[in-house]
Amino acid sequence: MSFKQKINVILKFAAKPHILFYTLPWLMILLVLGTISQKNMGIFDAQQMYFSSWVLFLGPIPLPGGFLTLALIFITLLVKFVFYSEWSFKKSGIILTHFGVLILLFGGLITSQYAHESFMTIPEGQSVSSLSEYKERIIELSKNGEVIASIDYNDIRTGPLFKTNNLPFNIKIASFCHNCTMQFQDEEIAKTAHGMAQKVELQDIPEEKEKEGNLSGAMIVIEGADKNVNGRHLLMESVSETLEIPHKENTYTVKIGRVQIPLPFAIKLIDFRRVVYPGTNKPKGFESDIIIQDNSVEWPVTIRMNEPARYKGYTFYQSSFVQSKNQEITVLNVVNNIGRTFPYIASLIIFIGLLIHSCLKLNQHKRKKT
Amino acid sequence: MIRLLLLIFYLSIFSQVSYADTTQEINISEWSTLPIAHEGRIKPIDSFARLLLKKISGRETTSNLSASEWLAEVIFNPSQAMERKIFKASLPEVLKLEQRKNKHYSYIEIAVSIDKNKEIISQLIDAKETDWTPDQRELMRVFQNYILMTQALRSLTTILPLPLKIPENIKNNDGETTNYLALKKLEKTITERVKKIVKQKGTNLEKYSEKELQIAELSFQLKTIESGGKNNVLFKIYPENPNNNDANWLSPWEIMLNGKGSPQSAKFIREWQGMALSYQQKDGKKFNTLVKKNRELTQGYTSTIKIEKIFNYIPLKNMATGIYFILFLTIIFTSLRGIDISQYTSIISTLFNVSLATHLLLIISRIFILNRPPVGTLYESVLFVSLICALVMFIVSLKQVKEKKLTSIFIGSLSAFALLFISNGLVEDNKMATLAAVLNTNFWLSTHVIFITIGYGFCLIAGIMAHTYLFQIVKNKNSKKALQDFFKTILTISIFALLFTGIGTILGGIWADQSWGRFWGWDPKENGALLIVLWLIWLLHSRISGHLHQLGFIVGLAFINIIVILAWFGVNLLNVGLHSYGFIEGIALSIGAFCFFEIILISTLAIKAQKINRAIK
Repeated sequence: MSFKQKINVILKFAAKPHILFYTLPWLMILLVLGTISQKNMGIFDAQQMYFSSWVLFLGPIPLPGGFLTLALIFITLLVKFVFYSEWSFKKSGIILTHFGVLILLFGGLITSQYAHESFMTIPEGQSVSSLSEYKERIIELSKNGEVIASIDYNDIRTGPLFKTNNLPFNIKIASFCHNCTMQFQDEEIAKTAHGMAQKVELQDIPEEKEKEGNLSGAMIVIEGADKNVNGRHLLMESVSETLEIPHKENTYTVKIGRVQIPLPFAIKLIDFRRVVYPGTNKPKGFESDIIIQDNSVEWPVTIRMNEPARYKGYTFYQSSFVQSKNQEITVLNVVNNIGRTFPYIASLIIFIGLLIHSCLKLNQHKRKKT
Repeated sequence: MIRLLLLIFYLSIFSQVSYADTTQEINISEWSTLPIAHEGRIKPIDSFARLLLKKISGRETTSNLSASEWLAEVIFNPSQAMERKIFKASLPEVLKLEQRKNKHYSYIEIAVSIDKNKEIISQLIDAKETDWTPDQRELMRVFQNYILMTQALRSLTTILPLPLKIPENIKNNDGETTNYLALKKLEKTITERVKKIVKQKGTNLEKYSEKELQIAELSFQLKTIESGGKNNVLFKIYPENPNNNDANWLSPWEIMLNGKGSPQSAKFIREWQGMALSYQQKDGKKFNTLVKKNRELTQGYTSTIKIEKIFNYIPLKNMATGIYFILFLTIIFTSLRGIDISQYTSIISTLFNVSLATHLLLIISRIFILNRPPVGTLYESVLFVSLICALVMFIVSLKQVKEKKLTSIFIGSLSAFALLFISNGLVEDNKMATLAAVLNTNFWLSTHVIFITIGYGFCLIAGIMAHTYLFQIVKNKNSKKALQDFFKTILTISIFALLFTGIGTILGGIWADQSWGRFWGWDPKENGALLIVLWLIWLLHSRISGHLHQLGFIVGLAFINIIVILAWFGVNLLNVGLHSYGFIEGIALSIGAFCFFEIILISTLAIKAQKINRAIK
């Protein structure tokens, strides 16, 4: 058998309807299992396990994951489309629809590999030029406002926190947890403890189903610094996120929080509005008047629910807000996705394809009758 | 107990006159078309009254009053309303109430019961709602209704006449009716006088003269009424700015206590005060004139409100449901008994068209009243999908009726009746309420949601037709050609089902991209829609490729009903994901029973049909 013949055999096999006949039910089974699992596992973990995996391990049994199943469907559809389509007007609707589905699947692949989701919180009247990661945490050390060391939260261990020799004092981790709760003690824990660390112990609790809900924290110990600073300190998200260590003429700051990604421009929040239905507190909509500041360019725009703003590949969505007596803070979801236009193009092609197919079918039906 | 007595005393002090006979000159029907802001929507008082009464008593009327007449009594004559037995308590033993056949109790009886159960209630308030037992749930339901009724009874206590005598020496002599407002104007004088009396005679009331007692009572009642009116925001009848649709609406107590008074609000309140007085004095002429005057401020809302009032009075849904039911029952009964009714086809078809027109009117009215597509809530989507089912079958029936066949009318009536009947179980959802912020977009509601719900309709019709096809094989009555024609119709319907669910699902992805920043998030609701699309794609492709023969395709299509119900209602039970506005409770058992019944039915029919097909071959 020549090479060409071998290729033909492979292509013929790849285009066989058997593949779709067996992969589609398997995809449906994955959908059902993955959906039900979200109740206990949380959406993210269930997605990773069932839909964003090449191989799904149910116990020790390896089974095709979502990626592999979709890849098989994509390949069979592509081969059928390119090599075995009946290129006629009669089949134009079907051809277009299949082409749209191919684009949709390809776009899905691009999105799954390159899309990045983060968020930014902007207080009214202030400018912010960095994004916060939803899941990744970090501990940073800065000297007079300039970051001099940082460590990914997944890498921290008990013992010395930063591997730098330039520090005039030691910072050690006494205990830490990825999702913490505070346990208040009746008696003072240590004489050299400061602030909340005098009365609080951190307790590790199971991680939230959605990791962004975790509250990471650490009990740190400062040694060799000023007497007023030496001892235990609590560092915990939403409770006590920064610790200032004055030393001689310098000020060192240890900060716990989400990983920050710099934006190539800044966003200033002018006004945040929560519009309610008349006579109630039920929100009708949320709006943020912002100004995108990019060097000398200033672009005022209003972001609403279902009306995001787009700039330089980033899309900003109204996601949440914080309203207190003195301040309003908007929370914007930020997505950077080079594959975002694929679903739009695919949808249009599928829509036209299905419409043509339905019209042709109806016409065919009418002609048969006459 | 003291609090309870105070509450009953507080409300009964407004019992100046005996119960007014509202059926005489007082035009409550006209009054009930005045606008009120409730749950974020401006609606006629009549709609508000129906919702309130339904929530408290489980019915939209009392034994002898309409909802509006009952509400008029509640707000204008609270002491009388307190005695009316309108509280539904399904478990009287739990509430420590006496056993009664109709299980309806008066406000006073419920107040006593709440007082007896106050310790349990305060414990339940602190506990998690999910931990409540069914008995505790019932207790808390009645308690919440009691709070609601208390607010309703106190709606106008700021302006209702008080049966109190104001001593001549502190009276303004301006001929004003004695009410809270009048007392409020005299508050400073009354407080000073009380202070003086206490200073001279101490706190022992026995030492007080008759006039001094009167002043002390005035001071006490002023404080009691004021504390009872605080936070009373239920009866929002006054628009702060009638020309702005988004403007805030206020209750009389909000105007009073939040410093929102203006010459316009004063005039408005005076008119309501006049209404209250004329209601109590049975002065219909004055009452009706004041209602007319009062409407001037809210002229802009009149047309929508009047239509909603008409909509409340004509039971379009019940009419359509009834006709569908009669048709479905007639066709199935005559078919089972072998009675030929083909000569009555045109009458049956006309009846079907009448019910369809009524159904259509119901949906159009809702669009007009809510000013949005009729698919914002689960309840609305059920009404809409039932209309789609009937409409699709109406189109199919155009040809069938000429051939004196009734299959399409049977399927249309059955599907529409079944869905309208199911919607009665979602009645909590039928408040014509405002939508969550993310849903508040007419563009996406009228594209994605309309497409997907039309798709649901086509799927259900295809599923029921597949059932009918299986029945026809089992009955072995139809000719091969008739069955083949029917199969082709089913195939066409299933292609349309794929068209609408496919496009609807993609549009949903685009909406998600616009709203949340991702086209697809494997959210349960999205997965449910995708499951329907994949099932239809699989069936159609397997039919084309020959993997499924005709019967296999039909059996697979019959199962689409289960998939649609799971995608439509079932995923809401998971309580996961961004589509959190659609969650419902307590339907798991019904869905489970439906799926079980369908699996048994389809499997039995499929096995029998397979045997018959083999025998024919």
